[in-house]
Amino acid sequence: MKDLGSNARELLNNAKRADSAPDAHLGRGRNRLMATLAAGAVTTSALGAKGALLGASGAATTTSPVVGTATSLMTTLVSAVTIGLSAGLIAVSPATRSGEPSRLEGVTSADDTSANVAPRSPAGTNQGRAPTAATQATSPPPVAAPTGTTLTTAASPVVMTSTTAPPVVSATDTPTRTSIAVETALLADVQRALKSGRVAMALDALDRYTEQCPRGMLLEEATVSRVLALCALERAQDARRWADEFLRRYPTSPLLPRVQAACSGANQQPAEAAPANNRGRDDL
Amino acid sequence: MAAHVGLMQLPREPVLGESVTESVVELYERHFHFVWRSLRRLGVAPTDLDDAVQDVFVVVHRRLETFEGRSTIKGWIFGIAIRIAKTYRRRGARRRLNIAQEDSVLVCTHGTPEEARAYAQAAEQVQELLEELDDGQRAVFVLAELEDMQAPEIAVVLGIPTNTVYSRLRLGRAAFERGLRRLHAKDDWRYR
Repeated sequence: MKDLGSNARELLNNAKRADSAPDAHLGRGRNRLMATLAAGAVTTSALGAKGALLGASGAATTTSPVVGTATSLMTTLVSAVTIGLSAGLIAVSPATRSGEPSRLEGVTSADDTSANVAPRSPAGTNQGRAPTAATQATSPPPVAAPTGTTLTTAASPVVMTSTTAPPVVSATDTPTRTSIAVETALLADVQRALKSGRVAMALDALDRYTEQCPRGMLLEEATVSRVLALCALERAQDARRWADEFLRRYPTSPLLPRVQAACSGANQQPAEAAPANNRGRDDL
Repeated sequence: MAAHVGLMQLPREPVLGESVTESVVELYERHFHFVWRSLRRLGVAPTDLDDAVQDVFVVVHRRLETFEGRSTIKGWIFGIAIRIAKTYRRRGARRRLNIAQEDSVLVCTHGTPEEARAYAQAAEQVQELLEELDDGQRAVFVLAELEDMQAPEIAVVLGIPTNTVYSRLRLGRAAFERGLRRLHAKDDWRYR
């Protein structure tokens, strides 16, 4: 292959020597990142010990492997949930988790930079979405997942935390702007609904996500959630359609095995898929 | 535990909480400059760089458990940076209509002030030339020519066949050279 000419090579070599950030940016960014991640860690623990929840759902998988897989997906997304909560939602709804007020306040003030990425929601610009979200989050689930009750009971301490949390207000400051904070907030809705077995509500939340973030950074994760939710509702055909779409868009995704396992679970008798679904959880 | 893992031994399923936070901060320390300059080279506006870097590492934190060691962690992070850069470029394109002049944030920490100026100017020129490459060529070019990454690894990072890496590199180099010739022609004309 033709190499670059000497002029171009020299230019690149010189450019390489200049292209670094001021060290002040490194330090400032580190503090900001640590504040964000620390906030994430706090909310992770607020959401409950992961092991406990997954252990509990593990017990539930004898009756519903599909929902079990949906729960294990939570492992992937649990930090997204926490980051979403830490980055913007706390600021949006000050009356936050009942159990963790002081820590979260600390987090909010520590992470002053989160205001940059936090969804700003002036009263007039929510386009009626927030009230909808509130209604959905507090109303009883329109369709309960087959084993939602099992999950809810088994993981009651955790689920209690998430159901007593205020509804997530999803808003972007402009219709086109998406940020990680907005996306994680929306997916937090999805995860909360999935976790408590309210699968239909999770699908609604996913619709909100795709509507607000049609080219979102977390579309990949959202699609996985959708496949799992559809499987949980025994809408195998729809699930397969989305799984195919997932394969087409993200052929190299590390999440692909989960998607495929979920759909094979929906195609077969649920009990047969149980071993495959349990595998991912054993090493957690 | 995770605080001591090396570059390639990151756990597949790190325990959520402190250990992940620690390893992400460790990754941040190690790859901050790489991410920063990569985002810049991928077209993120200088004023957005700090935010974009944050976003990259937030996504790194969230996805760390899906890192499979197929590429180096550096390459894996670059893959995330590409997607973040894309969203920021879209945003930046809209905003540039309102911002007349963006301050350059490139600094030089090597050599004499004269050299520093020359390096900074070179970086600006490269930046300008990179704008002429399409997204695919640009990512390959940045990794190959500015990060000295080999084609097979670039293929893994970008999830494309190695042959495609070579063809994009060839096209990218040609476009870069064309741009450089034009730049020089302009300078020659200006100083005539």
